[in-house]
Amino acid sequence: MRMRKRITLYILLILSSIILFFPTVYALMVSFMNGREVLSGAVLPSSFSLDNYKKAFESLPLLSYLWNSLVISAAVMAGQLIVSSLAAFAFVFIKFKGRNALFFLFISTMMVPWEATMIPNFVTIQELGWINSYFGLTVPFFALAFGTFLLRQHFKTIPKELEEASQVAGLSRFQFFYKVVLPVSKTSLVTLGIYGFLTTWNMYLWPLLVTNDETVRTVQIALKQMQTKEVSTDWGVVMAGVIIVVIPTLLLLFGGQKQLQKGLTQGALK
Amino acid sequence: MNSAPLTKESGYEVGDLPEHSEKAFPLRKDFWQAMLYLLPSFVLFSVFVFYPMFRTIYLSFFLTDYDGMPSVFVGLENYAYIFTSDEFLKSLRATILFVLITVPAGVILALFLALIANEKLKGIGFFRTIFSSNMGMSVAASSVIWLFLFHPSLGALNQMLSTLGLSQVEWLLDPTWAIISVSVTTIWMNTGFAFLIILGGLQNIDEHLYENAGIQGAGYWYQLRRITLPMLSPTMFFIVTVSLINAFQTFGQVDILTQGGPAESTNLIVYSIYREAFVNYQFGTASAQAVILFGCILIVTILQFKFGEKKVHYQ
Amino acid sequence: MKQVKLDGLYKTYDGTTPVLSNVNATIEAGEFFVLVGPSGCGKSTLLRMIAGLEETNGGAITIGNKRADQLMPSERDLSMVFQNYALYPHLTVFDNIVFGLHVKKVPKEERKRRGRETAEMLGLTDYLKRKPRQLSGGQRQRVALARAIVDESPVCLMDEPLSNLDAKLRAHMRAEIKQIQRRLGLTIIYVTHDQVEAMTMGDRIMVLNKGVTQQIGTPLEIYNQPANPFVATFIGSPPMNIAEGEIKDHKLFIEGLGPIPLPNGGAIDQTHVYAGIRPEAVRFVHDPVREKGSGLIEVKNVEVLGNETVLMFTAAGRDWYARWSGQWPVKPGDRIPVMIDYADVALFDKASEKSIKHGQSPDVAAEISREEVLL
Repeated sequence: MRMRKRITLYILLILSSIILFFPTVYALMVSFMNGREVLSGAVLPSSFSLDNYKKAFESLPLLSYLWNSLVISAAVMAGQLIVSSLAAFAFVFIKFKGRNALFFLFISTMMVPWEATMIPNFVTIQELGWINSYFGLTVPFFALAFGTFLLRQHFKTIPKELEEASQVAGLSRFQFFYKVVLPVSKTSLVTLGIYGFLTTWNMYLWPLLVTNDETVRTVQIALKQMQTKEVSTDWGVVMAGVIIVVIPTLLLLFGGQKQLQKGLTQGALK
Repeated sequence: MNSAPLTKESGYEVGDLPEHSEKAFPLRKDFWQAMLYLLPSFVLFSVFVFYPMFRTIYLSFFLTDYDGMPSVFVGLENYAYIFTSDEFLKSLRATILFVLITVPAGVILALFLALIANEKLKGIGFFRTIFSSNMGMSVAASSVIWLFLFHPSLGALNQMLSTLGLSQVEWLLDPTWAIISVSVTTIWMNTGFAFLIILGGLQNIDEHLYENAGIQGAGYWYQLRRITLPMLSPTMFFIVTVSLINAFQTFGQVDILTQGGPAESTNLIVYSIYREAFVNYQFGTASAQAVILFGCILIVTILQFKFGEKKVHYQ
Repeated sequence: MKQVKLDGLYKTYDGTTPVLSNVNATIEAGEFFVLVGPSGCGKSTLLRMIAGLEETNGGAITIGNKRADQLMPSERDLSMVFQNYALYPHLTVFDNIVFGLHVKKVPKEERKRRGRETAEMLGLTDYLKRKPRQLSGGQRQRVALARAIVDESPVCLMDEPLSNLDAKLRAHMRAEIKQIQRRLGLTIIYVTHDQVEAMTMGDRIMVLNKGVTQQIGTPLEIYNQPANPFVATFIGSPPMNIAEGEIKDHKLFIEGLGPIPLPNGGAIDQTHVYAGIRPEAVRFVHDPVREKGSGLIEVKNVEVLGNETVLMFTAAGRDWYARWSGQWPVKPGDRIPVMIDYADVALFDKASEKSIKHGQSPDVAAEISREEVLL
């Protein structure tokens, strides 16, 4: 590559990074500032004091919100993996009448925006008595057409002979599913798992609707609470809250970036 | 010879002699077994997607009581009402404006980032991580960060403007600026995902195509126009569809940044539905709005597939 | 080891068009039985029916003394090697080998012992901890083989197991599989489209075409006494030359060649026949004037292989081959006198395609008895 092109590229990369990453870094900086520094419009904190973080945990039961978010995200992740992989398995490895029609029906659910159906869903959850319960926050998301689609794409790459070899060896269909298909599809399962965890962790509207007390409230709602409560007083504490909320997802993202990219592109394009 | 009647069901075509055909044996139990595997998805979809969809359409023809139960059948009156309601029309306009700003800008930004991050340079992994990091930022976290950046006096944006000697902007209080501010926040949040997908698309393009073009003396822009963009079209098609649908579903940014204001300039359709249903308890009109939302997404998807797909070059 | 009996097997996918019809064979215990035929002939389908991976629409399969065609694959007590090996990518070589034993709940100690023994037999001992993707094609093939023989199933089915290997490795594995089969006394039913594999490995061969059995026999029976023109051209490389011929005035006429005189007393009832002549039976004539039945051919292509020379020419509108041992200074375009001895000609009835007369094996003159070979 020519030198000039290389330099141009680096300049573009660095500029873009600064612009894109500035809000996040700035939030991190503010989270260390005391009220006076925030008001003076400083860019860097005078010291990296953790006072704001302490205050954030004191002003709200943040720990229990974090726990709630973790439980809900993990449950949705597990639920999606189980439900989607079962469905994808049937679509790939069992031949039955109406398979294509049924698959089309599954895919069509991707076009129904969750927001358009939230009113009856809210009523359903209410009637099930699932307001302020983990069930209401998790069960509706277990079935995922996208997940079924993604896994189906991967299952289809498993050679038929592998199934036949398992039959000759004496595996039942369900054994073939969990002893061969699932282990072989580990990469896709990880992709879908990360995806499910991230989206659930970041969910906003639904938890806002179906929770109204602290027992099951998630961190995202806590942020809104914090912001409305603290807005006039202390941005440092609010930003500390932001950082606490995004750290788990950022870590997950950095850890699984390659995997996520590979899995998602495959799912999107094949 | 016992030609079992089963063979008809296996659906093979005449003269099709698959060396490795799908297992056609034993068929008897297959249908019910398949149903068993599909049952969880099926039940959940029925309860949380299909039923509420029809229920929404049903509710949109009724006035509802405080529990959200339909009480009086009013036919299309809810629709007539919302389409004459200044508030809803404003909301619809705001939504369309928002979609028209965020989708093209977001996709082009992500494409630009993916193009510069697809070069083989030292430390490129670091830049890729930065560019995709916003994917981990939740709606709530992003909105709160930007809420601070947009702050009239403390916010970094206005501070920068004043350093440059420019007049300050009422980012969230001026109706014209507010929709732009919400859009900027949205674009910032969504670039990560779009970037990652487009980068994946770029990396899937066969390296030999570029090597061959290089030997034939094609320059960067020529390669971009004649190889990269055509080969990338399926990815772009996918990401445009996803962005469009996402844009219609925007809620969190509005709730935290503007609550639909000022002067309802950012009252995007989902926020409007939310307020109508859960603040005003008008499930009937809210449902009518939801049906419109569903219609919008349906139309967008159909248009996309009808016109977009033709221009897409699949490998 | 068990016998496998196929009785009037019938298979159809659409209920009307047969894919296989009336297939009968008895594969003896300990026999290496090859199913050979062009692609689409139904050989793989037949193997998969024996395995239980395809349903049988008619007839019976008996394995040992047990009627098997309604049993699940795992109940038929057999093992199978697939063309693409079908190794479990998430398991190590060792776990792949003992996978079936695991399913059959063989005790752990025995599993270990048998796995190791089999791995040793196939030279896989150093690779037991690796995953399939870290192996070369040949090594994967061995793992598939090990997996098939480790559970000591009385019958082993192989579906084109060597077709994904390069030519050199294929030749090597041919010998290796054959040796293992002999050592363990396995009953193997082996599917291939490669007639060389069929000839070199099979104790007996079944030639299939369009779902119908053409001939069953030992490799030499099939080569020397092909039952019909299809078998004649399918086995042997280059293939047997086939052309329509007419018998008139005690001579066999083939277009493009000189008339071939019938010997005294060799009268044939039919007049319209297919004549089949092995490439090695098209002989060079040193003295075209004196030799009867000679004619001139125009050489279209020459392949020099070092120890032999293959000429291509046209007769009766088809490509014909002549194979002569040694190196011949022949060029395309040359016109060369050749002759064919009637004794070498195989004749088939034109209508029924049934064999009328076998050609004598070209080297039959040089045939020597086993006693002489063994001294």
